[in-house]
Amino acid sequence: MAYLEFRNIHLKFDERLIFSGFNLAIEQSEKVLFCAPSGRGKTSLVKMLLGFVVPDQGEISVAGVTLTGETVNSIRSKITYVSQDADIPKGIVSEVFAAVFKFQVNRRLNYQETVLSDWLETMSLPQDTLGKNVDALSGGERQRLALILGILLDRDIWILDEITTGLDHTLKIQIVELLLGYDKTILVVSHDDIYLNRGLREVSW
Amino acid sequence: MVFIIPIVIINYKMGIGLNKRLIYALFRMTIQLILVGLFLQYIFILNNPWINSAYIFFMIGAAGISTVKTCGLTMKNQLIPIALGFGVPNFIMILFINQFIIGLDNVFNAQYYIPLMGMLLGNSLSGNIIGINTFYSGLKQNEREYHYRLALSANQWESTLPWYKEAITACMNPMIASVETIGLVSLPGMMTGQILSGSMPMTTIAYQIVIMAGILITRYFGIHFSIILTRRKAFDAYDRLKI
Repeated sequence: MAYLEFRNIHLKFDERLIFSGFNLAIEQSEKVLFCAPSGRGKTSLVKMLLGFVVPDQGEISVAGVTLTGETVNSIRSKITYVSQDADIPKGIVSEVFAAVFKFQVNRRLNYQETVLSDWLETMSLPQDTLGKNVDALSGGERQRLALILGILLDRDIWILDEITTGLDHTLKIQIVELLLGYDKTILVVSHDDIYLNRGLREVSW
Repeated sequence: MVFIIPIVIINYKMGIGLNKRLIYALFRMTIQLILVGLFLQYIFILNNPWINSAYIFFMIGAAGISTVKTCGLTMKNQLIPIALGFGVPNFIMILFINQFIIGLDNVFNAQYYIPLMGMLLGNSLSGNIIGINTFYSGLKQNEREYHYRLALSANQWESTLPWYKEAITACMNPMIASVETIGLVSLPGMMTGQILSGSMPMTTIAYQIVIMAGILITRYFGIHFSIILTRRKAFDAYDRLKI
């Protein structure tokens, strides 16, 4: 059994059939680029993995565990999801980070705020970002914070859904190289050429 | 009623489409109050604890139905949780007031039991509607943020907490504002009624303080219980909001 599996997925969305009998297997540490044309359900696919979209038919498994209402929490705790919208919780950045690591499941990570300083620099964010309100940040800044949060959560599977939209070219290359360098199972949803020729397996439908 | 005539004429001349609803509302109010008056008169004469309590449960049920409808919840799943959620704190409060504050021999005495419970419930009702609406519509409007919190491995309680807190605040804010300004802006209805029927102002003040404190307390616990009880059936196995 592969690390991540979609088996015979059927999904209707607004009366439109998006998947009918879709199959996909992804191995551990594999890096995959979903580059299907718009409207084919790329985001729905990754949301199915997180249990936010439930297929009408078919089965999904993550690390040998079939996704159901009972297993959804443990599966979510294996996945880091960063989306284009980067909906980080509202509030002052440093408090938001602290709050996330106070969630029961994340407490074992022993988070210290001092690690953030280096990460802000890596992501080209000013140090005073920590004291700012999430609402006052730009979309690109929020995305990078969500990436830092994702890296710090240290989970096995990363889903990066259109994360390069708010970034300039140099920063884009720098961040994509950084992220792809990790030994994680990485699923990328994007149309950006920046991911091409970097050894990702391209999946389209 | 004579003063209604110019209103109807002005509305008609200016094409303000209120007449039908206005007349219907006034008519309905009159019939409703006459019936309630007759009914209450009868209940007061009988003054049987069981009948009085049955009437109270009827009020709780009606308030529950009203909340469920206004907040767009499902009757089948949510009526009982809502009715329990604010029925129980109000019921405990009325017994407490009647027994320990007023010191009645019979805590189910219709003269106190029914009107005071009506005031408590009426206020809990409006508070509950505000609070429940804030909670569920907040979750619905911020679905992406809510899902992101779940994806960060917050459990259902942790991920809904911001909207839970918002709901309690939204429920209590108007109450606290009205407690602050009571008597300055307007005399409360209960005091006005008592004064009109011959009570001294200081007597009415004592009752008013008791009832305001009672309302504040039951409103607070009512909204907590209502959210806690309704949320059990408001999410699916994947913690997605079903409403």
